[in-house]
Parts: sequence; C-alpha cells; structure tokens
Amino acid sequence: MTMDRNEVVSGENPHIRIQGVSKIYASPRGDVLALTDATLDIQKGEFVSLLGPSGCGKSTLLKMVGGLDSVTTGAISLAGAPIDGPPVGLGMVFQKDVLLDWRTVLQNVMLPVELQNLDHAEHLDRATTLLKLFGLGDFLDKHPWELSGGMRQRVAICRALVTDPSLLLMDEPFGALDALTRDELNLELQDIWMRSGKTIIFVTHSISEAIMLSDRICVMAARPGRFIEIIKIDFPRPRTLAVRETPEFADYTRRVRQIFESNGVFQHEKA
Amino acid sequence: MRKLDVPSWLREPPSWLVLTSLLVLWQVATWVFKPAPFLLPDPISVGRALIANPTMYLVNAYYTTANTLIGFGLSVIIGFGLALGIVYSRFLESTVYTTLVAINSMPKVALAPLFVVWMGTGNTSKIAMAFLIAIFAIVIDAVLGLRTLDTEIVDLGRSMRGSPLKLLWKIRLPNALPSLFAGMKVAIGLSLVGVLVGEFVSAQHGLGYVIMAAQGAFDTPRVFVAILLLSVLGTLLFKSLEFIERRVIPWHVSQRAVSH
Repeated sequence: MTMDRNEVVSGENPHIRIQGVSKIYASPRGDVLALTDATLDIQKGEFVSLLGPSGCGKSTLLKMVGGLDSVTTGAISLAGAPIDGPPVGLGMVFQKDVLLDWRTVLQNVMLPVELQNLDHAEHLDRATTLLKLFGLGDFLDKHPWELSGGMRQRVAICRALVTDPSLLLMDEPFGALDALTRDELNLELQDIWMRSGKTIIFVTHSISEAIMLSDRICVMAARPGRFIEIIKIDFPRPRTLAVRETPEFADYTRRVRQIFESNGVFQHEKA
Repeated sequence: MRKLDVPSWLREPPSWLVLTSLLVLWQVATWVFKPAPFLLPDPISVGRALIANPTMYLVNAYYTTANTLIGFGLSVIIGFGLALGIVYSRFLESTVYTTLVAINSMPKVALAPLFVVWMGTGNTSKIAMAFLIAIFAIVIDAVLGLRTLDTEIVDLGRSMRGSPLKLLWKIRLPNALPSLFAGMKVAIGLSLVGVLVGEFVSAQHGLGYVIMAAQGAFDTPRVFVAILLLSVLGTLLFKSLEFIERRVIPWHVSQRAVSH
C-alpha cells in the first residue's frame, strides 16, 4: 500500500493544482494581502498539511480549494477542472464541530446525505458503521450537547466521511481538543485515510501533528501569508505515537522550527 | 450554628399559596379600612359579580380571545414571511425593514381610533390592532434568528452542496426557531393589549367593552372581574406558547433543564 501511494505521489498529473494563488481581502482599513503567490501540486491520495501561525493564509487557501472563497489571482484546479464552487465529493471538517443541536448524532451525520438527495437507506448503514468505528455506536440517538468535545469532533468527522468524499479538507479539526484526545484522533484519522485513499489537506499550527500525519508539510508564514518551504516526511505507515520519540522526528521538528525562526514567526524568542 | 428548620413550602412558597394569601390580605384590608366599594371592592363582591352573570363574561372573553388569536396568528404568518424576504433580499431589507423599524418607534395605540374609522366598530379593527402591535416583535426576532448563523455552519452547508431551499429548511429555519419563539412570547401579550385598546375605543363586546361599560355605571366589581379574567387569559395564552415551545424545540439550551 505504501509503495502504491509513493507511485501515485510521483505521478505526472496532479489531482489538485494550486498555481500562483493570491488572496486580497477588502477591509475598511484598506486591502489586506491574506495569501500571496502560493503554488502547490497535490497528488491523489496524498496527505498534505498546511502548517503556520495564525494569519498565514492557511485557512483562506483551504476555503479556496473547497470553492467557498474565490481566488484574487492565480488558479486552482481539481482533477483538471477549475474550482468553481464546492466540488462534488468534498468533505469538510472545521475547528468548531458545528453540529446541529436539534439533530441527533445519527441525524447530524446524515445531514450531507439529505442535502444532496442521496440514497437514504444505503447511507444510513454507512453512517452507523462509521459511528461505530469511531466508538460512538451507543450514542446514535444522543444529542450533541450530551457529548464530550472529542466525541463531538468524531461525529463531525463521520459527517464529513458519510458521502465517501474523495477530497477531505480539515481546518484545524483537533485544535480545540485536549492533547490526549488529539493523539487518539490523529491515529484514527490516519487509519481512515490509509484504508480509503482519500486526498486530505489538513490545516494545523501544531508542528508535531503535521509531522505525525503528513506525506508533505507546506510550511507557511504570515504578513503576507505565503509558502516558505515544502517538506516531505519519510516515515513508514502506519505511524504510531512512538514515532514522535525518534531522532528523525526531532530532526523534522528542528527543521520546521528553524524555518519559522528565520521567518520571524517566533518574535519573542528572538527578542 | 445550625440552620433554622424552615419547611420547604415557606422557603419557596408555591404560586397558588402566594396568590391565595394576597386575596386574603385584600379581603382583610377592605374589612379593616372600609374603602368605598366603587373605589376598591372586596374580593368576595368581585366573586359575586362573576357568579351573577358568568355567561356574559364568558361570551365577552371569547370575543377578546378569538380576536387576539387571529391577530396574533396573522402577525406570526405575515411577520415571518416578511422576515424571510428581508433576510434574503437586499431590496426588501432597505425598504420594508427600514419602514417597519420607523413605524415601530411610534406608539401604535394612537392608531386605534383611526382603525375604527377605517374598519368600523366590529372585530376587524380589533384584529388589525392586535396584528399591528404584535408584528414588530415577530419580524425583528425572526430576522435576528434567521441571520444569526455561525459562518462555519454557512460554509458547512455550502460545502455539502445543498440547494438554498434545503439549507433554509434544514439549517436556517430550525436555527431561527428559538428566537422566533422569544418573539412570539412577547407578541402574544402585545396582541391582547392591541385588542383591548381597540375595544376601549369602540366595541359591542369583549372584555375591554365590559370594562368601559361597567366604568360608566360605576360598577367597579365588574371592572375587577374583567381585569382578573384578562390576567388569567394573558397567562393562559403565554403558558400555551411555552407548552408548544417545549415540544417544538426541546433541544434548545433554554429548554434542556425542563426536558431532562
């Protein structure tokens, strides 16, 4: 499986092509350059992280890939077609779980099925299976407010997966969770990704989370938001939590930190 | 120091006990101070006035209730429709909403005599008053509810490629319900006030009419019966809405303590 993916990664036709993308927001105090000249090719089935401080444009870029925001200059294409609105086969997970309080866990997961008029019975099975897989089998008929933060975010992930999307965009999905729950969900996400071969773009500001999960990390800086360096992570899969204690992991961490430092991300340490 | 052993009914007296005590206090006060009956009648003579002619009160209460409910119902239907238009159309927002907010700042009871001139002394002018006075609360709270949606929820809905109608029905509408109920709970009381004002100006029946007629005859016990019936009516209307609310939005924060 690992070999197959490497083959795909080195393929010629990228699944997602981000070419010279910039984003300028108009604000009352003048235009804000949120992202400048971002170029990146992503292969089908690849796990790519956008890693950087707040204001580096990582969420903006994710939204543009998801067709929720327009590019100011440049172009983004998915499977050869330019992005024009949210594409078919898209799943999104946000930092907030945005579960709907009036729906049960199962009904929340079924929301995309209802919105897209997909076959109800078939997806109900899939939703139930997914929720069981994420350890929520006993909570199908509970309401969101009865769950813990980690469980709620698991429901949000199931909701993104229920239509079996080929592209998963995740905007700091585990940013609001405690460290242990976060580790757990990192492993569960890796499992899902390895089994399904989805393309995942993962926004985070955690260096270790990015190294742990990604095939490649796109290191970014702010003011203006930009790509600095793209780092390939060469750990075999499946990765365990123990990988974080290896010297290689420390090397990657050091490298990212040094990139951040030389680009003024850690102002405090320099002062 | 040990805490005093106060029984629970005294620490947190139930509402029936409070109300009964007030009635008893009122009765005793009238015995002691002996005010002129046309100024302040005692509860027993108010009770006698009610028992003397219960059908008359019932019929008049019926007119007031029916007109209140019709006016309120119309304000909910039309008000919510307007709110939808305002939320989805920039044009309606800058025309209808602006006009509504402007009209809202004037005291609407001042229009009651005009309505009687326009629509006569029958039920229509009362329903119109109830409607006019209630619709603002509906529109303003419904607009608020329809607009208050996390940007993440909006993005989520769009990422799922839902049609605008489906997004409205499955996300925006349920999300607006708590706010709509808040508006309705204000509006139901306002509707009753609207009908009453209409009945004060000119009417052939209704509890407001009973009050005006009895006042003309210095029959203060009858005024008191009508006032008591109006407060019972107001409470019943409000409680019925709360009852419906508990069944429609049991998931909302405000209802959870009740439903669990």
